[in-house]
Amino acid sequence: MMSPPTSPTDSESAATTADAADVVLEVRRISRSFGPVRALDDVSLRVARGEVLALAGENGSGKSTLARIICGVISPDSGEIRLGGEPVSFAGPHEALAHGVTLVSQEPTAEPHMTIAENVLLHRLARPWSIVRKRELVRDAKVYLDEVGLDVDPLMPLGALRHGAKELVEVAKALASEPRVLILDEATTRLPDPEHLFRVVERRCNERGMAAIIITHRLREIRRLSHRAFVLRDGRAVGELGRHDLSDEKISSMMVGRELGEFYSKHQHPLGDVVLATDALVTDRSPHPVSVEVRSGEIIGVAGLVGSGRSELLETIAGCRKAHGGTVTVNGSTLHNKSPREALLAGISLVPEDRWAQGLVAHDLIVGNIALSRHRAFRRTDRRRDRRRAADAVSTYSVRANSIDMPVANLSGGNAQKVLLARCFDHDPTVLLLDEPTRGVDIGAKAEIYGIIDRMLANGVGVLLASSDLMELLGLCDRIIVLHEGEQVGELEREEASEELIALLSAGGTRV
Amino acid sequence: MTILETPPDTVRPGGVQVPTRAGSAWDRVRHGLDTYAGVGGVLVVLCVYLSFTQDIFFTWANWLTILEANAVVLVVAVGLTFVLLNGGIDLSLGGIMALCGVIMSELILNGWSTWVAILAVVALGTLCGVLNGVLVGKVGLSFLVVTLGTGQAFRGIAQVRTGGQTQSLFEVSLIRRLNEGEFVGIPWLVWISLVVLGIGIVVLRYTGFGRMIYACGGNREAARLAGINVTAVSVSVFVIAGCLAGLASVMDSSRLLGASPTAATGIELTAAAAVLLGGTSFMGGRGTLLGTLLGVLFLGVLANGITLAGISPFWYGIVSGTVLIAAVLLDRIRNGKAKP
Repeated sequence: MMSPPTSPTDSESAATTADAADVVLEVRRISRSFGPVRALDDVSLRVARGEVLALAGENGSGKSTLARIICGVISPDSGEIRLGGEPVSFAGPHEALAHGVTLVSQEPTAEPHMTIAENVLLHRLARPWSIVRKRELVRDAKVYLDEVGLDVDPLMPLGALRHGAKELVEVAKALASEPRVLILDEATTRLPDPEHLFRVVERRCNERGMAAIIITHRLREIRRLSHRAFVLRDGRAVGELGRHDLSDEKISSMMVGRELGEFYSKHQHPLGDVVLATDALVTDRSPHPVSVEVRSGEIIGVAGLVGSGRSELLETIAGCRKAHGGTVTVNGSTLHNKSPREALLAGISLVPEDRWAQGLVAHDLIVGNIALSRHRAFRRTDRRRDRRRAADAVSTYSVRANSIDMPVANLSGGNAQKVLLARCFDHDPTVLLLDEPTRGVDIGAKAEIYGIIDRMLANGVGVLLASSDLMELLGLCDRIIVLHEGEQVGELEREEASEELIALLSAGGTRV
Repeated sequence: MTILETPPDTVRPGGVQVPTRAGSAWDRVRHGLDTYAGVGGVLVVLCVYLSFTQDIFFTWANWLTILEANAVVLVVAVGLTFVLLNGGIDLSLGGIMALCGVIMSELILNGWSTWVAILAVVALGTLCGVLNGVLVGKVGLSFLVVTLGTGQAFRGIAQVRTGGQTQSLFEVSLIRRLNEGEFVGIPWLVWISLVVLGIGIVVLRYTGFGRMIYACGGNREAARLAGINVTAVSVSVFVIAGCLAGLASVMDSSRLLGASPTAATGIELTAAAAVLLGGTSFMGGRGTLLGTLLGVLFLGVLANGITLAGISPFWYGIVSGTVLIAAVLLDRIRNGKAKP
């Protein structure tokens, strides 16, 4: 643990960084829990007119929760938000929008069937009694499209735009609401040229005094754009860094709060035969073939930006998506019809990216979720066996639960993830496909999950790990393959891999 | 993976107390009370009220009347429970019943053996279910659109074949026996419906297929990734509902001693109300056949009480509709904090 330079829970000292008269947004002692997980614990911050504040922190540190509270998407358990000195409480995003607080989030919120102009000025259409004049709409939309530098016909349906341009429309839409506070939550991950967006934001801040809060994983972007960085760790504010303190080392050590070595328990396991091989496998998302080989006891990382095809690759191997070409070979035998069932029986187990949408039956009990893959249609269910195995799994993977008769919806993210892992291990897989296994999981559970993965490797399982957490990839993997827009642009040995190199390759750059 | 050979009910390395047995009998009773609080409570109140105000209500004969009058709905509701648990609904069940009834009478009047005709229309109902299931589960069309369409089409076929006329089955001895016959003092129709209910309970609770239905209804994508053939499950629930609708049409024809193309109009909605009253979630994944039985009984007792008390039958809809919404509301309040 390092001592924070300022104590941000003390709102008086925060005032030193932003002149009190200029403060647009003030967050006072916000706390918020999801079930047993404390996502935010007594967090306070201030943003001044024209200032760009970076929110930094690892996955699951509470950045997005804070952003969503400020924008009224979720409400805090305690604490208050002041806007221009007035306490406000938003019943929903529409109220925040009306007060000039706008969020551009990771997930696109646009309507693909509506025209670009309608999307940009959606807040105007939200007034049900107003009359929409097409010419006016086009003229006004054009102003904001010009501002983000997008030269398109505003009457085109949004769906016709390519990726990258859609995200810019999203930004134009946010600017059209004339925000006093603009929050960009990982908005640059899909953009081909983030620098362009930065100039747009800077211009707004300088000329019109807009305040901006940016959330990004890329330390470079924090250095480039922000005046101040506010660092969160496990839901708590751990400190602030002023413009002159913004170095990669300072930010990341503050984010992580420990040495990496002790956290990632990487043991070298003896490598066996090739358990998984894909030969020129083409997914339904990109025309590029991907070939990868995983040996028994080996863990291969899959790196790439959001939308680079990491999840698609894993899901295609697991038979959940149609392959458009190429083969998947498990333990020397090639899969034929590529259904999830065939892959499962062949020994492939996928831990999907979105544990609630793709992994767990939320209202079902722990025991039911763990037994899910065991059911055979014309076989009696063996409740005693299912219960025994669930109880064993719960203790083996230290799931914190009162009983196996608890709905998984009541578990924290980390414990729910452990239940999902338990199910995937329940039928002794030889190949494990992990897609963001620790996203939104607290630090303690994260370490435990790494321990579980390590045990699987020791048992001779081959692992393919897709993650947006570079530290995780660097800490765990024997080799890392890098994807850029579906194309396999690099394969790095453990020794040569570095955060910079992976970031460079996944952004489409080439090695020097 | 290593399976720890530790005895149950001990503290494990993870520091977690893990009971491997479900709770005590009392726990199960309490859980049951909790699950069926809504419709069960109202049913009990209704029964108590009726037994004080109507002398005839709490007699064996009256209860047999209620069970017999609702045997057909119960069979349809069992099939519909399968569909609802999978996250769909089948609006064609009334249409299937009309078609099956009409075809059965036609076959019998053409000199077929009654047994063969009965088996043939159960098969026909199953086939109708296959059509629904393939269009919904395999082709991927909306279950609302498909079953709305097929239901109208099935009833249409029945009308074309009969010219809209009701055909009497009064002379057919097996159908008469099904209508009037009893076994240990209980009418055949009631026996059939209870056996169907029993089989349904066993299938849903104790077979892998049953658990798959719950999983698919609870989270289709998770079930698919867990290696469950969700297409086959989706198709089969419609097949089951169609098959039971075929059986129900035989029962209905024997009750009315005739087959009409307008028979069983709206029965799928009555059955759906009963299933939803019984606590089955419209979104799928949650619910039991015991709840469905309670739902059917509630509607039956309500209709019976209204008749006994001599109240205008138009009140039936007002009360059952209000209780349905109240029951779903209660369910929502109790599960308000669950994640989607």
